[in-house]
Amino acid sequence: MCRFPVGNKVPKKRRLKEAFFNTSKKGLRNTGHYRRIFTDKNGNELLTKENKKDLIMFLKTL
Amino acid sequence: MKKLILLSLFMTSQMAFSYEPDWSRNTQIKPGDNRENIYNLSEEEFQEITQEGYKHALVYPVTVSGLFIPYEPMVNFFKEKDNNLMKLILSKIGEKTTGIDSVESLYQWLGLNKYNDEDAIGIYRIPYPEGYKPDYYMGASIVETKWGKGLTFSCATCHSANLFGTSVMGLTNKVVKANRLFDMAKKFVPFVPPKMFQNLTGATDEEVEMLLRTKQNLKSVGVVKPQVLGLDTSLPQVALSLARRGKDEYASKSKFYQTFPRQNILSHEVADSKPAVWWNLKYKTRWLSDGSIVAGNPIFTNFLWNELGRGTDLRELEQWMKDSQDTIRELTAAAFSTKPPAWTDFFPADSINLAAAKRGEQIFKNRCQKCHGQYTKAWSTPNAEELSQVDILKTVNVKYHKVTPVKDVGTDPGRYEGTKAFASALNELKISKWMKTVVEPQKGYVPPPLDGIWSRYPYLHNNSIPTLCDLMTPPNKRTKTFYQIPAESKTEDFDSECVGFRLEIRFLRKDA
Repeated sequence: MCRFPVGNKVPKKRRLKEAFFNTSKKGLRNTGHYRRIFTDKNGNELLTKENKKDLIMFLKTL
Repeated sequence: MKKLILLSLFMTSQMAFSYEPDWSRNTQIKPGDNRENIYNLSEEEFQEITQEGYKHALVYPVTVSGLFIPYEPMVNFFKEKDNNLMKLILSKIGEKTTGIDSVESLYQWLGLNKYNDEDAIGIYRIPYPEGYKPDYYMGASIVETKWGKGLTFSCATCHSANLFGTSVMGLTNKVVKANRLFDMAKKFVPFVPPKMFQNLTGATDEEVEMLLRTKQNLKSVGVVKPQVLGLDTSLPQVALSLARRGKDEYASKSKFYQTFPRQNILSHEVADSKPAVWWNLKYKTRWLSDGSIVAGNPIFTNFLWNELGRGTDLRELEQWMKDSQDTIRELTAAAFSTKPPAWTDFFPADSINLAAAKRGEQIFKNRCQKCHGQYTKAWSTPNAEELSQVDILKTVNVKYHKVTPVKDVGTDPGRYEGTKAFASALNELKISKWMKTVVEPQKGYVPPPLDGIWSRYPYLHNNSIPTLCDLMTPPNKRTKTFYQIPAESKTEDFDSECVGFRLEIRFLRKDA
């Protein structure tokens, strides 16, 4: 199941140069907020994909 | 009648603000409490004063603000758009790329939101400044000044948003271009010849004076274009504007520094961040995404930052603040009183799988609660079985921290490092000392309370994570590029499973 438009499947009217987010640029990096949150100190994943789906379901209710 | 209402409001204000909150760095909030009613107002006062405060958030109250656009001449300007001068100016502001050829298209380009209809209820019932639905957009402020009507933009420009066709007060505007407007103004306003401006737009002598004042004040404004739509560069704008002023305690205007601004790393380092949601204010004891404002009323600070970024005379601003204490308190009361949109305001309650949400709650307690706070759900209350499908999903209590923490969890450091570039200059200002505002650079960011988190995508202080799925994906596998789009359609613009922009995320795919 691939439901979501991605990359060049984004509708043309939404593909504005000023709206293009490139996380490799300085200040725009998408690093962090993972290790020791979703992993243990050795980097082992603590949550299954089902756990993550449940967590998102909870977050929707906040 | 109007006088009676004003008198009544004046008396209410005088009585209401007998309590002053603790804005010091030592303040603490008892876990489970919050400062939604920051001035401890009675229910009646609270309703009245927050409504007035909302109006100040919608129509900018600072009459000494440095930059006003002469409103009537601007309306005439767009009527005369076929004139040669107008063509020249429109080409300067890039009409072809911006599409700005009318007042309304300016508001739309800027990303402003429409006022909700008269039948809106709850948090969506946003007051109309004049008592009837305006024909202008939220944030657009047509202010009566001594030079005539001046257009400027208020807090609601960045701190209100369109969420699937409904405007939400206090929600981060995902598509605002306020900083781009300053950038555009710097490029074309200095070249507008006053005489010709007057002849072509029918401006009065006072309106020409307003234009000249704006031109003059723009010289003290340093601007930085945001990296991406939805991000804000107020922080570098404050730093670079301060660098164009004198070093005295009022940061007086200086022709020398206007021509030769002091070096500041924020002229090239990126410190963009998104404007914060307002409904978290009530839980916090320090402000901004990096928690760097450690003391002082954040609304005062907001005005100071706005006005430094608008080239305002700080002596005039200080006097305005002293004369407008009730206005500032009303706005403070309103901002602290805002509430987040609920998922069930936009989607059916049965789109939430209660059993899954309860399992998610346990995971949250183990992995997230320590930093983001504890949320007691109605489904855990003794009478849960009697609650409706909507009410059972509500949060009945939030326990955040006594003192707002700052954590470094490895996210992009640009924003918090940027604070170092101007904190001391800001703290040295006489107006900062009078406001008792203190800025201290931090290492990391505030782990914010998560009220209404579903509506706050994209995530992190710099908008770099487009969905909650992505947030829960290892950094090296996260989405690298995406488009920052408005939230116009629930189905086209939003992924209700992953919560955020519509992207392909593996762990929700059945075949993953």
